[in-house]
Amino acid sequence: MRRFIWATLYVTVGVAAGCISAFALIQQAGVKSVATDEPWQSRAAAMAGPDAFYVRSHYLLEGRLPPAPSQLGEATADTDSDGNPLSGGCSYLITSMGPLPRWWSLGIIGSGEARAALQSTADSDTAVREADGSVTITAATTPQPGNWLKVPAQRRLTLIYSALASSQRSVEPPFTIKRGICS
Amino acid sequence: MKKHLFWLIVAVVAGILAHAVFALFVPGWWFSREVRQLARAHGQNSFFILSPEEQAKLLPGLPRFGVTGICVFDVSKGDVTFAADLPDGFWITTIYTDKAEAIYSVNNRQSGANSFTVSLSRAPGLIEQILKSTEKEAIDEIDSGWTVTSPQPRGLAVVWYPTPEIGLRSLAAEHVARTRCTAGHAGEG
Repeated sequence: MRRFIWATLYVTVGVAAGCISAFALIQQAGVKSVATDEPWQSRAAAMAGPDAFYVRSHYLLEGRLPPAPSQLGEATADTDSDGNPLSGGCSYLITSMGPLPRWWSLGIIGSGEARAALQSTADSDTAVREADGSVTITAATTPQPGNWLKVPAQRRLTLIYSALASSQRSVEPPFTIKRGICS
Repeated sequence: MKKHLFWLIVAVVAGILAHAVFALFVPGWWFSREVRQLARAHGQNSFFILSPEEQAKLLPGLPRFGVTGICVFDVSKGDVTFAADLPDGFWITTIYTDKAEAIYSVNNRQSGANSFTVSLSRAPGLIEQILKSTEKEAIDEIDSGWTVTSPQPRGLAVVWYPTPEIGLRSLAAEHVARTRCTAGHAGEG
Protein backbone atom coordinates (compact mmCIF):
# COMPACT_ATOMS: atom_id res chain seq x y z
CA MET A 1 0.00 0.00 0.00
CA ARG A 2 2.80 2.40 0.97
CA ARG A 3 4.65 1.58 -2.25
CA PHE A 4 1.53 2.36 -4.28
CA ILE A 5 1.16 5.74 -2.58
CA TRP A 6 4.82 6.59 -3.28
CA ALA A 7 4.51 5.54 -6.91
CA THR A 8 1.37 7.61 -7.42
CA LEU A 9 2.97 10.60 -5.74
CA TYR A 10 6.15 10.48 -7.82
CA VAL A 11 4.31 9.96 -11.12
CA THR A 12 1.80 12.72 -10.33
CA VAL A 13 4.59 15.17 -9.49
CA GLY A 14 6.46 14.16 -12.65
CA VAL A 15 3.39 14.56 -14.89
CA ALA A 16 2.51 17.92 -13.30
CA ALA A 17 6.08 19.20 -13.71
CA GLY A 18 6.10 18.05 -17.36
CA CYS A 19 2.81 19.81 -18.17
CA ILE A 20 3.78 23.01 -16.36
CA SER A 21 7.19 23.15 -18.06
CA ALA A 22 5.57 22.63 -21.49
CA PHE A 23 3.02 25.38 -20.79
CA ALA A 24 5.75 27.77 -19.56
CA LEU A 25 7.92 27.03 -22.60
CA ILE A 26 4.99 27.65 -24.96
CA GLN A 27 4.26 31.00 -23.28
CA GLN A 28 7.88 32.17 -23.35
CA ALA A 29 9.23 30.68 -26.58
CA GLY A 30 10.31 33.19 -29.18
CA VAL A 31 9.36 36.27 -27.16
CA LYS A 32 11.91 38.96 -27.93
CA SER A 33 12.12 42.64 -27.11
CA VAL A 34 11.93 44.54 -30.37
CA ALA A 35 14.13 47.38 -29.06
CA THR A 36 16.33 47.60 -25.99
CA ASP A 37 14.74 50.72 -24.48
CA GLU A 38 11.10 50.09 -25.42
CA PRO A 39 8.51 47.79 -23.81
CA TRP A 40 7.35 46.12 -27.03
CA GLN A 41 7.82 42.37 -27.37
CA SER A 42 7.20 40.22 -30.40
CA ARG A 43 7.11 36.59 -31.48
CA ALA A 44 7.15 37.53 -35.17
CA ALA A 45 10.84 36.76 -35.73
CA ALA A 46 10.51 33.31 -34.14
CA MET A 47 7.59 32.25 -36.37
CA ALA A 48 10.02 30.85 -38.94
CA GLY A 49 12.84 29.71 -36.65
CA PRO A 50 13.47 26.63 -34.51
CA ASP A 51 10.95 27.92 -31.93
CA ALA A 52 8.15 28.05 -34.53
CA PHE A 53 6.40 24.97 -33.12
CA TYR A 54 6.16 26.42 -29.60
CA VAL A 55 5.27 29.90 -30.91
CA ARG A 56 2.41 28.45 -32.95
CA SER A 57 1.31 26.48 -29.89
CA HIS A 58 1.08 29.76 -27.96
CA TYR A 59 -1.47 31.07 -30.46
CA LEU A 60 -3.34 27.75 -30.47
CA LEU A 61 -3.68 27.75 -26.68
CA GLU A 62 -5.09 31.28 -26.87
CA GLY A 63 -7.67 30.04 -29.39
CA ARG A 64 -6.54 32.51 -32.03
CA LEU A 65 -4.73 32.60 -35.35
CA PRO A 66 -1.18 33.93 -35.65
CA PRO A 67 -0.71 36.93 -37.94
CA ALA A 68 -0.28 35.96 -41.59
CA PRO A 69 3.49 35.40 -41.94
CA SER A 70 5.32 37.81 -44.27
CA GLN A 71 2.11 39.87 -44.44
CA LEU A 72 1.49 41.15 -40.91
CA GLY A 73 3.67 41.52 -37.85
CA GLU A 74 2.50 41.80 -34.28
CA ALA A 75 4.00 43.12 -31.03
CA THR A 76 2.58 43.55 -27.55
CA ALA A 77 3.41 45.73 -24.53
CA ASP A 78 2.46 45.01 -20.92
CA THR A 79 4.42 47.94 -19.49
CA ASP A 80 4.90 51.60 -20.34
CA SER A 81 8.23 52.97 -21.61
CA ASP A 82 9.45 53.37 -18.01
CA GLY A 83 8.74 49.72 -17.18
CA ASN A 84 5.59 50.23 -15.09
CA PRO A 85 2.81 47.68 -15.73
CA LEU A 86 -0.04 49.06 -17.83
CA SER A 87 -3.12 49.55 -15.69
CA GLY A 88 -6.72 50.58 -16.30
CA GLY A 89 -6.35 53.03 -13.41
CA CYS A 90 -4.02 55.27 -15.43
CA SER A 91 -4.15 57.16 -18.69
CA TYR A 92 -1.33 56.83 -21.23
CA LEU A 93 0.03 59.03 -23.98
CA ILE A 94 1.12 56.91 -26.93
CA THR A 95 3.23 58.88 -29.39
CA SER A 96 4.75 57.84 -32.69
CA MET A 97 8.49 58.47 -32.88
CA GLY A 98 9.34 57.71 -36.47
CA PRO A 99 7.92 56.81 -39.85
CA LEU A 100 4.79 54.70 -39.73
CA PRO A 101 4.16 51.72 -42.02
CA ARG A 102 1.57 51.83 -44.81
CA TRP A 103 -0.94 50.10 -42.53
CA TRP A 104 -0.79 49.76 -38.75
CA SER A 105 -3.22 49.20 -35.91
CA LEU A 106 -2.98 49.70 -32.16
CA GLY A 107 -5.46 48.04 -29.84
CA ILE A 108 -6.01 47.40 -26.16
CA ILE A 109 -6.96 44.07 -24.69
CA GLY A 110 -8.21 43.98 -21.16
CA SER A 111 -5.77 41.49 -19.67
CA GLY A 112 -2.61 39.54 -20.40
CA GLU A 113 -4.57 37.21 -22.65
CA ALA A 114 -4.86 38.17 -26.28
CA ARG A 115 -8.23 36.39 -26.51
CA ALA A 116 -9.81 38.79 -24.00
CA ALA A 117 -12.38 41.08 -25.59
CA LEU A 118 -10.75 43.85 -27.60
CA GLN A 119 -11.74 47.20 -26.17
CA SER A 120 -10.84 49.56 -28.98
CA THR A 121 -8.34 50.16 -31.76
CA ALA A 122 -6.74 53.07 -33.57
CA ASP A 123 -5.24 52.46 -36.97
CA SER A 124 -3.66 54.14 -39.97
CA ASP A 125 -7.09 54.69 -41.55
CA THR A 126 -8.79 56.27 -38.54
CA ALA A 127 -6.03 58.05 -36.58
CA VAL A 128 -5.82 61.84 -36.85
CA ARG A 129 -2.26 62.95 -37.60
CA GLU A 130 -0.43 66.00 -36.30
CA ALA A 131 0.84 68.65 -38.72
CA ASP A 132 4.27 66.95 -38.83
CA GLY A 133 2.72 63.58 -39.70
CA SER A 134 3.17 62.06 -36.24
CA VAL A 135 0.36 60.36 -34.34
CA THR A 136 -0.55 60.90 -30.68
CA ILE A 137 -3.10 58.62 -29.03
CA THR A 138 -4.49 58.96 -25.52
CA ALA A 139 -5.45 55.71 -23.81
CA ALA A 140 -7.91 56.44 -21.00
CA THR A 141 -11.17 55.20 -19.51
CA THR A 142 -13.03 58.43 -20.45
CA PRO A 143 -13.27 60.01 -23.92
CA GLN A 144 -10.34 62.27 -24.83
CA PRO A 145 -9.91 64.87 -27.59
CA GLY A 146 -8.03 63.61 -30.64
CA ASN A 147 -7.19 59.94 -30.97
CA TRP A 148 -8.62 57.95 -28.07
CA LEU A 149 -8.24 54.32 -27.07
CA LYS A 150 -10.78 53.19 -24.48
CA VAL A 151 -9.10 51.55 -21.51
CA PRO A 152 -10.91 48.94 -19.40
CA ALA A 153 -11.24 50.28 -15.83
CA GLN A 154 -9.02 48.99 -12.98
CA ARG A 155 -7.51 46.06 -14.80
CA ARG A 156 -4.14 45.02 -16.15
CA LEU A 157 -4.05 45.65 -19.86
CA THR A 158 -1.97 44.87 -22.91
CA LEU A 159 -1.33 47.02 -25.97
CA ILE A 160 -1.29 45.06 -29.21
CA TYR A 161 0.33 46.51 -32.32
CA SER A 162 -0.15 45.06 -35.79
CA ALA A 163 1.44 46.33 -38.97
CA LEU A 164 2.24 45.33 -42.49
CA ALA A 165 5.41 43.28 -42.40
CA SER A 166 8.37 45.00 -43.97
CA SER A 167 10.96 43.01 -45.90
CA GLN A 168 12.73 40.60 -43.53
CA ARG A 169 12.62 43.10 -40.65
CA SER A 170 11.09 42.28 -37.30
CA VAL A 171 8.16 44.38 -36.17
CA GLU A 172 9.29 47.53 -34.42
CA PRO A 173 6.30 49.52 -33.15
CA PRO A 174 7.30 53.17 -33.54
CA PHE A 175 5.37 54.21 -30.40
CA THR A 176 6.46 55.33 -26.95
CA ILE A 177 4.07 54.83 -24.03
CA LYS A 178 4.13 57.49 -21.30
CA ARG A 179 2.01 57.24 -18.17
CA GLY A 180 -0.34 60.16 -17.55
CA ILE A 181 -2.69 60.64 -14.61
CA CYS A 182 -3.49 57.70 -12.32
CA SER A 183 -6.66 57.58 -10.25
CA MET B 1 17.71 5.40 -0.83
CA LYS B 2 17.74 3.05 -3.85
CA LYS B 3 13.95 2.86 -3.75
CA HIS B 4 13.66 6.66 -3.85
CA LEU B 5 16.20 6.90 -6.69
CA PHE B 6 14.13 4.45 -8.73
CA TRP B 7 10.93 6.43 -8.24
CA LEU B 8 12.77 9.69 -8.93
CA ILE B 9 13.80 8.27 -12.33
CA VAL B 10 10.18 7.19 -12.90
CA ALA B 11 9.05 10.75 -12.06
CA VAL B 12 11.58 12.27 -14.50
CA VAL B 13 10.50 9.88 -17.29
CA ALA B 14 6.82 10.66 -16.56
CA GLY B 15 7.66 14.38 -16.66
CA ILE B 16 9.42 14.11 -20.04
CA LEU B 17 6.51 12.12 -21.47
CA ALA B 18 3.94 14.55 -20.08
CA HIS B 19 5.92 17.50 -21.49
CA ALA B 20 6.03 15.94 -24.95
CA VAL B 21 2.36 14.89 -24.92
CA PHE B 22 1.23 18.33 -23.70
CA ALA B 23 3.32 20.25 -26.28
CA LEU B 24 2.36 17.94 -29.16
CA PHE B 25 -1.34 17.45 -28.58
CA VAL B 26 -2.95 19.93 -26.13
CA PRO B 27 -2.60 23.20 -28.16
CA GLY B 28 -3.82 21.53 -31.36
CA TRP B 29 -6.74 19.87 -29.58
CA TRP B 30 -7.63 23.16 -27.85
CA PHE B 31 -7.67 25.15 -31.11
CA SER B 32 -9.49 22.45 -33.08
CA ARG B 33 -12.37 22.87 -30.59
CA GLU B 34 -12.63 26.50 -31.73
CA VAL B 35 -12.53 25.43 -35.38
CA ARG B 36 -15.20 22.77 -34.79
CA GLN B 37 -17.37 25.39 -33.05
CA LEU B 38 -17.06 27.69 -36.08
CA ALA B 39 -17.88 24.80 -38.42
CA ARG B 40 -20.96 23.90 -36.32
CA ALA B 41 -22.17 27.52 -36.27
CA HIS B 42 -21.56 28.36 -39.94
CA GLY B 43 -21.11 25.08 -41.78
CA GLN B 44 -18.13 23.37 -43.34
CA ASN B 45 -16.82 24.15 -46.84
CA SER B 46 -18.84 27.34 -46.93
CA PHE B 47 -17.70 30.94 -46.72
CA PHE B 48 -19.07 33.28 -44.06
CA ILE B 49 -18.34 36.69 -42.53
CA LEU B 50 -17.29 36.75 -38.89
CA SER B 51 -19.11 38.99 -36.44
CA PRO B 52 -16.88 41.67 -34.82
CA GLU B 53 -16.92 39.59 -31.60
CA GLU B 54 -15.82 36.40 -33.39
CA GLN B 55 -13.13 38.38 -35.21
CA ALA B 56 -11.84 39.93 -31.95
CA LYS B 57 -11.52 36.41 -30.52
CA LEU B 58 -9.81 34.82 -33.52
CA LEU B 59 -7.70 37.78 -34.68
CA PRO B 60 -7.47 40.18 -31.73
CA GLY B 61 -4.74 42.34 -33.28
CA LEU B 62 -6.95 43.52 -36.12
CA PRO B 63 -9.36 46.47 -35.87
CA ARG B 64 -13.03 45.57 -35.51
CA PHE B 65 -13.99 47.84 -38.40
CA GLY B 66 -12.40 45.39 -40.80
CA VAL B 67 -14.21 42.54 -42.50
CA THR B 68 -12.99 39.00 -41.90
CA GLY B 69 -14.43 36.13 -43.91
CA ILE B 70 -13.64 32.49 -43.23
CA CYS B 71 -14.09 29.10 -44.80
CA VAL B 72 -13.61 26.08 -42.56
CA PHE B 73 -12.56 23.55 -45.18
CA ASP B 74 -12.27 19.81 -45.02
CA VAL B 75 -10.23 18.15 -47.77
CA SER B 76 -10.37 14.64 -46.28
CA LYS B 77 -13.13 13.59 -48.72
CA GLY B 78 -11.90 15.50 -51.76
CA ASP B 79 -10.75 18.85 -53.08
CA VAL B 80 -12.29 22.15 -52.05
CA THR B 81 -12.44 25.20 -54.30
CA PHE B 82 -11.98 28.62 -52.76
CA ALA B 83 -13.08 31.35 -55.19
CA ALA B 84 -12.33 34.80 -53.79
CA ASP B 85 -14.21 37.86 -55.01
CA LEU B 86 -12.92 40.89 -53.13
CA PRO B 87 -13.40 44.65 -53.39
CA ASP B 88 -10.70 47.05 -54.59
CA GLY B 89 -8.14 48.02 -51.98
CA PHE B 90 -5.89 46.33 -49.52
CA TRP B 91 -6.73 42.77 -48.44
CA ILE B 92 -4.94 39.65 -47.27
CA THR B 93 -5.98 36.06 -47.87
CA THR B 94 -4.28 33.38 -45.78
CA ILE B 95 -4.85 29.65 -45.65
CA TYR B 96 -4.08 27.93 -42.35
CA THR B 97 -4.21 24.30 -41.30
CA ASP B 98 -6.31 23.60 -38.20
CA LYS B 99 -2.97 23.59 -36.31
CA ALA B 100 -2.65 27.31 -37.24
CA GLU B 101 0.19 26.67 -39.67
CA ALA B 102 -0.02 29.17 -42.51
CA ILE B 103 0.38 27.28 -45.79
CA TYR B 104 -0.52 30.06 -48.22
CA SER B 105 -0.83 33.82 -48.05
CA VAL B 106 -1.38 36.50 -50.64
CA ASN B 107 -2.32 40.19 -50.59
CA ASN B 108 -3.93 42.41 -53.22
CA ARG B 109 -0.58 43.55 -54.64
CA GLN B 110 0.86 40.05 -54.90
CA SER B 111 -2.32 38.69 -56.44
CA GLY B 112 -2.78 41.46 -59.00
CA ALA B 113 -6.50 40.62 -59.18
CA ASN B 114 -9.40 40.83 -56.75
CA SER B 115 -10.97 37.63 -58.05
CA PHE B 116 -9.00 34.42 -58.01
CA THR B 117 -9.51 30.72 -57.39
CA VAL B 118 -7.46 28.44 -55.19
CA SER B 119 -7.85 24.68 -55.32
CA LEU B 120 -7.37 23.10 -51.90
CA SER B 121 -6.39 19.47 -51.65
CA ARG B 122 -4.88 17.05 -49.16
CA ALA B 123 -1.11 16.71 -49.37
CA PRO B 124 -0.20 13.13 -50.29
CA GLY B 125 1.38 11.01 -47.58
CA LEU B 126 4.90 9.63 -47.95
CA ILE B 127 3.78 6.19 -49.16
CA GLU B 128 1.35 7.77 -51.64
CA GLN B 129 4.14 9.99 -52.99
CA ILE B 130 6.43 7.01 -53.52
CA LEU B 131 3.65 5.01 -55.24
CA LYS B 132 2.75 7.91 -57.52
CA SER B 133 6.33 8.68 -58.47
CA THR B 134 6.81 5.05 -59.50
CA GLU B 135 3.58 5.07 -61.48
CA LYS B 136 4.49 8.45 -63.04
CA GLU B 137 1.08 9.85 -62.14
CA ALA B 138 2.21 12.83 -60.16
CA ILE B 139 2.83 15.17 -63.10
CA ASP B 140 -0.64 14.62 -64.58
CA GLU B 141 -2.32 15.78 -61.39
CA ILE B 142 -0.58 19.14 -61.06
CA ASP B 143 -3.22 21.84 -61.52
CA SER B 144 -2.54 24.70 -63.89
CA GLY B 145 -4.20 27.19 -61.51
CA TRP B 146 -3.34 28.01 -57.90
CA THR B 147 -3.24 24.83 -55.91
CA VAL B 148 -2.62 24.56 -52.19
CA THR B 149 -2.02 21.20 -50.58
CA SER B 150 -2.76 20.92 -46.88
CA PRO B 151 -0.91 18.47 -44.63
CA GLN B 152 -3.98 18.44 -42.35
CA PRO B 153 -7.48 17.41 -43.50
CA ARG B 154 -9.03 20.50 -41.94
CA GLY B 155 -8.11 24.15 -42.14
CA LEU B 156 -9.21 27.74 -42.44
CA ALA B 157 -9.14 30.05 -45.43
CA VAL B 158 -9.19 33.57 -44.03
CA VAL B 159 -9.88 36.79 -45.93
CA TRP B 160 -9.24 40.09 -44.17
CA TYR B 161 -10.29 43.41 -45.65
CA PRO B 162 -9.73 46.53 -43.48
CA THR B 163 -12.25 49.35 -43.76
CA PRO B 164 -11.57 52.91 -42.56
CA GLU B 165 -14.82 53.30 -40.63
CA ILE B 166 -17.61 51.24 -39.14
CA GLY B 167 -20.17 52.64 -41.62
CA LEU B 168 -18.34 51.01 -44.52
CA ARG B 169 -18.16 47.61 -42.86
CA SER B 170 -21.52 46.32 -44.06
CA LEU B 171 -20.86 47.46 -47.65
CA ALA B 172 -17.46 45.78 -47.69
CA ALA B 173 -18.89 42.67 -46.00
CA GLU B 174 -21.54 42.41 -48.73
CA HIS B 175 -18.82 42.35 -51.39
CA VAL B 176 -16.46 40.01 -49.52
CA ALA B 177 -19.42 37.62 -48.96
CA ARG B 178 -19.48 36.95 -52.72
CA THR B 179 -16.46 34.72 -52.13
CA ARG B 180 -17.31 31.05 -52.46
CA CYS B 181 -15.94 27.94 -50.85
CA THR B 182 -17.30 24.70 -52.23
CA ALA B 183 -16.47 21.02 -52.13
CA GLY B 184 -15.15 19.79 -55.46
CA HIS B 185 -12.39 20.63 -57.88
CA ALA B 186 -12.25 24.08 -59.54
CA GLY B 187 -13.01 22.59 -62.94
CA GLU B 188 -16.10 20.67 -61.79
CA GLY B 189 -19.68 21.55 -61.98
